[in-house]
Amino acid sequence: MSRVDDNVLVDGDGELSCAHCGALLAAPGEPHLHRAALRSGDVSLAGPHVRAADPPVVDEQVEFRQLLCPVCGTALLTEVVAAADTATRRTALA
Amino acid sequence: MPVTPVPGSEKFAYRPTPAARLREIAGEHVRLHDVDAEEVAAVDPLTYEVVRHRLESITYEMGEAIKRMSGSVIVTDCNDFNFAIMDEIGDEVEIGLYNTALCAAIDMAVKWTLEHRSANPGIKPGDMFLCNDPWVGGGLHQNDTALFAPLFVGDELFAWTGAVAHQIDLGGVSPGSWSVKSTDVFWESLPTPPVKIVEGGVLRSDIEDVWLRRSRLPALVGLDLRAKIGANHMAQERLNELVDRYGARTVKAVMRRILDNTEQRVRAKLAAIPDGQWSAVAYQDSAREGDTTLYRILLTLTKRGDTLHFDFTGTDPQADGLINCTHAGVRGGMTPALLTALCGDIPWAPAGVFRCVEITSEPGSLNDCTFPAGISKGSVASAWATLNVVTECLGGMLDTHEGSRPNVTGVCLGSWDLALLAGLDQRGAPFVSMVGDAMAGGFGARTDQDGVDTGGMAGAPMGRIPDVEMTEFAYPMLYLWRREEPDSGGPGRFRGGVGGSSCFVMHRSAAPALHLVVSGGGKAIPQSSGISGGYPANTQLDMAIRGADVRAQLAAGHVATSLDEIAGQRQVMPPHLETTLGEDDVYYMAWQGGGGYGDPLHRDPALVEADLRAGKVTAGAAADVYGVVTAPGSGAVDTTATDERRRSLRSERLATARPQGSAR
Repeated sequence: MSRVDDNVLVDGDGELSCAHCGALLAAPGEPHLHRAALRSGDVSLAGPHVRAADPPVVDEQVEFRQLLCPVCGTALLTEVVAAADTATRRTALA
Repeated sequence: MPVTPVPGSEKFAYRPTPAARLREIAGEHVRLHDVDAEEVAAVDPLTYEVVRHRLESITYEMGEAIKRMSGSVIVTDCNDFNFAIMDEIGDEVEIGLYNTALCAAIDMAVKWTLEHRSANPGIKPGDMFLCNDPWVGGGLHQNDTALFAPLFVGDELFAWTGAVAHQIDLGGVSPGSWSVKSTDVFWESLPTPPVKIVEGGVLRSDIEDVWLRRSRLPALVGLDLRAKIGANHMAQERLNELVDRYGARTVKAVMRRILDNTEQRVRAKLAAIPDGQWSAVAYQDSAREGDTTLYRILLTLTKRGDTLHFDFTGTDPQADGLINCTHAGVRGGMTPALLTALCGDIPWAPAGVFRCVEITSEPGSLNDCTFPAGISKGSVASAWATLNVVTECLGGMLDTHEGSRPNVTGVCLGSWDLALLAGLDQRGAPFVSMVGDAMAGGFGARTDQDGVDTGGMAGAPMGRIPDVEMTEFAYPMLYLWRREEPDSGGPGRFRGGVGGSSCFVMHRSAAPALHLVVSGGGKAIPQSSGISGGYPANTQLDMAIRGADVRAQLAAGHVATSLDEIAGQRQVMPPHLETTLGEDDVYYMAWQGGGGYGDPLHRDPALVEADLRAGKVTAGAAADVYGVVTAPGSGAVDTTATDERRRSLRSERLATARPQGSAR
């Protein structure tokens, strides 16, 4: 097993697992973190330091988004993005 | 806004010509010094290290020289400049540790000059060329003015030296050349392609006059011109000493070896890292005053073997505003991240690094715009956003390998918080000043330590925040406070460095109000992203309080230390605005920290306790984001309550989560 980042391990077959609880995050051949759970909501979920601009400065909805280990709830990816954008951040290991 | 080349502008839309072809073109008019591979291999290790370190130290001397000769606070107190020593065809062999983004494109300007100026007007000993055209190169926006000089040994062009510094005002509709209403470059400072301003050692007064005539502060810009001339003179004096001592062929062989060594060592580092692909997005809110569009720069970074491919395909088309940057800006966004992430133990020879790199960018896009797109903010808009997205993707890549993991950082200071003041100073003289306080941005967290609080800017290792006292002495301002801001660092197992805030009033100006230009993003979406589950740092906040009671407070001997203590009408600043600051107004700016690394629920509670005691985080963030509970009174961590709180927060997260791809 080798470490992909602070929370994710990868084995020789390309299976990704949670470094904290061992949960399966992606089977070999699946997209990166395919089995992670997705949490989204108001930007205030990012903490008191992230304020929704008042008055709004852009004409798009902005949201908080987080990928979580489906078992232990570890945050694997945390971002504030345009709600209309999907696949904002991707990883593909060879 | 046309995105097809404007007839007559084509030759300025520069991409570096391959070395062999450049030698052919320039070689018809100027003899270029060169050495062969055998000579490069023959340099002994001791001589190599001595000469290499000497080249590095020359850039430090150039820095000291320009600071002693400039009169601009941006140069003397913020270090917003840099230098390069280049070989005969403009490849950058050594750059300074000042603003590394500024050195991303000096080579482009030199190569363009070799290609387009070697015949007419020619390149001769004692010449110096000035350039502030970012489509050609030299800098990232028009304020970045480069002055570069050929060094001849005998009758051969041996090397180039170059100095580039931000100039406080070079014309355009708005003070500081920061035209927030700009829809194209004609609102802004005139981009000037390379012009021979020093000829045979003599400053040409006709060209100097044309250069200074555009500025609101010609005396200051004229002084900076002389400072850059002096820095180049000093550098060439030192290079000549080196050549006299070791011989031109040896010094050139060392320069070649520096490039080759840098390339080899970068390739070796890359080869050890697993192959893969990483993609990210960097946002910018608004392209100009009144614009409410959200803009995106996309990057897919591919590492295969020992090479990196930066592909910006899919980036938004260039905007009708001032935020675009040219191809020089793409390099300006890449260079600081590449150097700091990959070259901490390798000579900073950008030409060697870029041999390992391929860039795909789309002409007509935000970070590779075509003339006449507006670019006056390019350096701290699209080039900066490019730096953010490069930092993220490189961080993801480096995190996959134990050897490179220590070089990961979250994004540092995700956007520049600009407040530009102009008017009459305490002495009744016209002034323009960019408030440089945001130079103290928060650094991104590392994989094994927090980001440096108010550590600076990733792109300017030797950048500085100007002293409050120096700022108050130079400009009609009085600070109420300048301090670190709690919670501004992105939460994580390791916390991003906090940013700060400043609050000030105009003070003793000879005029009743100051001109204020506001230009700062990161207000809709925080731009200091975290890595590996780490949270982004704060959104930026700029605010004027109109009709404030601060004067009365000061008269009563009280200095407000929080916004709550100041009465008046709050005006939250949009990303771009041109306005005024009156005698009864207060201005507040809170800039960004650095992104976090890892899940904050994994942060050692003892570190959160220390953060609380040091004012880096608030009690609310400690409890709600980090899940740490402390005992009232002592402030010590309550371990049992913390464990329970963290279990509860994880359950809350999962309770509202869903499988990816499922409907909301």
